Amino acid sequence: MEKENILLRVRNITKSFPGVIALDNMSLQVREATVHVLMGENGAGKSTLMKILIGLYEKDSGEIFFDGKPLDTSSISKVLSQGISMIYQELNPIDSMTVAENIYCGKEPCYVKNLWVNQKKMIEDTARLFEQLDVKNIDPSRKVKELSIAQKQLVEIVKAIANESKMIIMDEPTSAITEDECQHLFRTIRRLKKEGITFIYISHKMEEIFQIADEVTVMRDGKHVGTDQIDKLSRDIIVKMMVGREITDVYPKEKVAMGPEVMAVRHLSAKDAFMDVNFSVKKGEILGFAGLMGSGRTEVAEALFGCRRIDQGDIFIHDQKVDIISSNNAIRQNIAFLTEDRRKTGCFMGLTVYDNIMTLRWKKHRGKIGIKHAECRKSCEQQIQKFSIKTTGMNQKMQDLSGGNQQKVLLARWLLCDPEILILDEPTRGIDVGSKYEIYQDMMSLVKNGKSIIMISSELPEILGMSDRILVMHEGKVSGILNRDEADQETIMKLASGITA
Amino acid sequence: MGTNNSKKNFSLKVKKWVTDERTGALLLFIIVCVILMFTTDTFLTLRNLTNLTRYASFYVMVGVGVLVIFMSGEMDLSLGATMGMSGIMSAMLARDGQPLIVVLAVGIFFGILIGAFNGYLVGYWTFPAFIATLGCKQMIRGLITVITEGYPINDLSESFTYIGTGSFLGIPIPIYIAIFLAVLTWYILNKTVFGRHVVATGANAQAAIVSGINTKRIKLFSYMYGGALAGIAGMVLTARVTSGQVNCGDGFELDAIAGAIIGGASMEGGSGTVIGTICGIMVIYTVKNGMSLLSINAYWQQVAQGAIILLAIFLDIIRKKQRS
Repeated sequence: MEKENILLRVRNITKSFPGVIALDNMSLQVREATVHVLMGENGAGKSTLMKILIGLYEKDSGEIFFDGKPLDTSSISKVLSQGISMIYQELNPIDSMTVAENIYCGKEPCYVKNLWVNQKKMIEDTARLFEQLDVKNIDPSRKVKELSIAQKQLVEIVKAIANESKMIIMDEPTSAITEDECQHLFRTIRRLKKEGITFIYISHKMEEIFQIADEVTVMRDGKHVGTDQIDKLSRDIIVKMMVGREITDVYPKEKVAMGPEVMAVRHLSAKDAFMDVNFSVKKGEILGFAGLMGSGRTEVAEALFGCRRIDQGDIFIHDQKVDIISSNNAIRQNIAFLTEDRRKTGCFMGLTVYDNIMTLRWKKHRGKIGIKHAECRKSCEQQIQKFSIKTTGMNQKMQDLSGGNQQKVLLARWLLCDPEILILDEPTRGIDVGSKYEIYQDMMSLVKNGKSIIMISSELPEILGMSDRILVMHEGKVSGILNRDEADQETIMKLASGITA
Repeated sequence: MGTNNSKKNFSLKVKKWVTDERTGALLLFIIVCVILMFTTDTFLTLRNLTNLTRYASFYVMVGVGVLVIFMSGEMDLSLGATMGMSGIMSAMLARDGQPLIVVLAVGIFFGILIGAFNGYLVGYWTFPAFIATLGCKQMIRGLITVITEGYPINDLSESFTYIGTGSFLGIPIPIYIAIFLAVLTWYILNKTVFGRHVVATGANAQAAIVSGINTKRIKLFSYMYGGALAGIAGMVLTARVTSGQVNCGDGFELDAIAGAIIGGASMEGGSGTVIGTICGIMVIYTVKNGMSLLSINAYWQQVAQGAIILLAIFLDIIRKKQRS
C-alpha cells in the first residue's frame, strides 16, 4: 500500500466564519487513483473543506499539497488548471447553452485565440469524449435544459475530464438520480479510476459507500475523526465515528393515540407537478412523504398551502371541502408550512429573532395606536423559552443564529398561530445532530397535543424513524403508502425510483 | 373535436410566435408596417423610410450595447447620459478643429470611462445596477451642465458633422455605423470567448464562477463595451444635429432597453439576440414615426411611448412564465 502515491495532502487547515469554526486543524490525505469517501453529519465541514480546495473560500491557515506541489487556491480558474474539478450537489448547468458549450465553458477551443471560438471543434471534441466515456444518448449540440438530471450530471463529469482533471470532487452525486443511473455513474467512476483519476466522494448513503469507496475519512465538527480502508470499516463503526457517541435512540418516537381524520386529499392534480394524489392525515399522526428530488413532494405541499394552483381534485378538512387558493386561506384553515429552503423562503435573515418569530402575529396584537410591543415581547420570550432557542436575546439578528436555531425560530413562528396541521418540508436539513433531536422531540410533543404533521424528507432514516405512515412519490404520482411496520429502506427506494417489484 | 383541436393548436402557435424571442419582434414589426401602409400614404416613401431608419440607427447603436450588458445579467440607465458626455466632449474638440481621429478617440474614451465606472461599482463592489447607474446618470448630466454652462456648442468642423449628416450610395452614414456595430456585437457575443463568457455569466453566474470565469471582470468589460457604443452613438447624434446639445441622448437608454426587451432580451440575463434587438427598436420607431405621420398629438405620443415600455416588460414576464 505504501507504494501508492499520495496525490492530495491537506495539512492543518483552519477556517472560521463569523461565530463558527467550520474547520479546525483539518488534515486529509488522498491516494492517487482511489475513491476517497468523505463522510460526516451536515455541518461537519465537508463542503467548506471542498470549497477551500476548489478556491471558492480562502483558508485562514494550513497547507495544501497537490501532486507534490503546493496547491495555488487563489482562484477557481487556477485550481482548475492544476487539475482539480468539482461536481456540485446542486448541479450548475447553463441551461440556455448547448452540451458542448457547457463542457468547454471557460476553456473554449478557438480558431484565433479569444477572438474566434471554434464551435465545430467543441462539438467534435465533446462527441469524442462521450465515446471514450461510453456516454450514449446525449447529443453535444443539444441544449442542456432538455436533459435529465442524471444526464446533466454526466455532462458535468465529462466537463471535469475535458479539463484534464487528475482529481474530481463529487458532492452527494446520487441524491437526485435513480438506482439505475446511480449504477451507471459508479461504472463511469470505476472506469476513470482505472485510467488514474482520483475521486473525493462526499456522501451520506451507507450502501453506496460500500460499493464505491476505497478509503473513508470521517469528519465531525470541522475536525478529522478517522481515515481507514473500506474493508476494515463497518456501518456501525462509521456511524459511531460520525456522531461521536453510540446512538441507540436517534428518534424519540412514541406511540400516540390517533383521533379522527383531519385532512383528506382526493384526486389532487397540478399541471407539470403531480397527478391524482390521494391521502389523508389523522389527528396525532405523522405522515412521512418520501421520494427523490423532483418527485413532486414539495409541489403537493405548496398546493396544500395555496402556493400552487390546483387543476383538479379536492381538499377536505374535518370532512368539509375547502378551497385553498392562497397562503392566507391555508393559515385560516390552521395549516402551517415550514418550507424546505430556510434561507430563501423561511427566514428574514437581516431582521431580528423578534421580527422573525412574530411575523404572522402582528395583526393579533394591534392596539389603538399601533402594535402593542410589550405584549409581543412577552409571547416572543415564551416561544424562545419553549423551544429552547439558543440566542443572545430576541434582538439578535437571524443570520447570526445556527441553522438548527433558525429552524426552531421558524417552528416557533408557526406555532404561535396554533395550527392543526403542520407541513414540514425537510425540517432537519443542514442542521446538527443535537438540534435535529430537539426538533424531533418538538414534533412528538406536537402530535401528543393532537396536532397532525406531514413531514417531507429526503433522509430515509428520518422518514422511517418518525413517521406513522409513509407516502412515497415517484414522478408526480403516489407510488405507495406504507404503514410504519411494513416500511424499510429498500421498499421505499423501490417505490421512489419507480421499480415495481 | 378535430376543428376544435386544430383551432387550439393554431392559437397556441400564434401565442408561441408572438412570445418567441426570435420571431416576436419581427412579427410585431411587420404588423406595424402593414397597418401604416394602409393608413398613411407617406409611410412607404423612400424619404420617410430613410428618415425612419436613420432615426432608429442611433437607438440601434445604444441598443446592441444594452444587449451586451443585459446578457451579462445587469442593466444600465446611464447610457443616455454617456451619449451626452461623449457628444459634448467630441463637440468641443470638433469646434476647436482637432483632427477627426482625435475627436472620435476622445468620445469613445469617455464612453469607456463611464462604462468602467459603472462596471466597477456593479461588478466588483456589487452595487445594484439600477441604483448605481441611476446615480451615475445624474452625476454625468450634472457634469455636462457644469462643463457647458448650459449652452450648446456650435460651429463644429465639417469632417466631424459628415459622420452624422453625410451619406454614401444614398444611404446615411449613421446607418452604416449602426450596421457595423450590430455585426460587431453579434460577432462578439457569438464567436469570441469573451462573448460566450458574457452569456454564461448572465445565464448562471454561479456556474460561470465554478467554471473559472472571472464574472466580475466580465461585467466590467460588458459595461465598458456598452459605454463605448453609447459614446459612439452620442458623437454621431451630435454630428447629425451639428451641435453639441446639453440634453443629447436624454431618455435614449429607456427606448434602447425597451427595444432590447421587445426583441427577446431578458432582464435576468443570458438570453437575447442582436437581430431581435434591432427588430424591437424598429417596432418602437415605426410606431413613433407612424404616429407622427398620422398627426397624433405629441402628448399622446408620449403616452404611447410609455405604454410600449410597459408592453415590453409584459412580454418579458410572459416569456419567463413560459420558460418555467
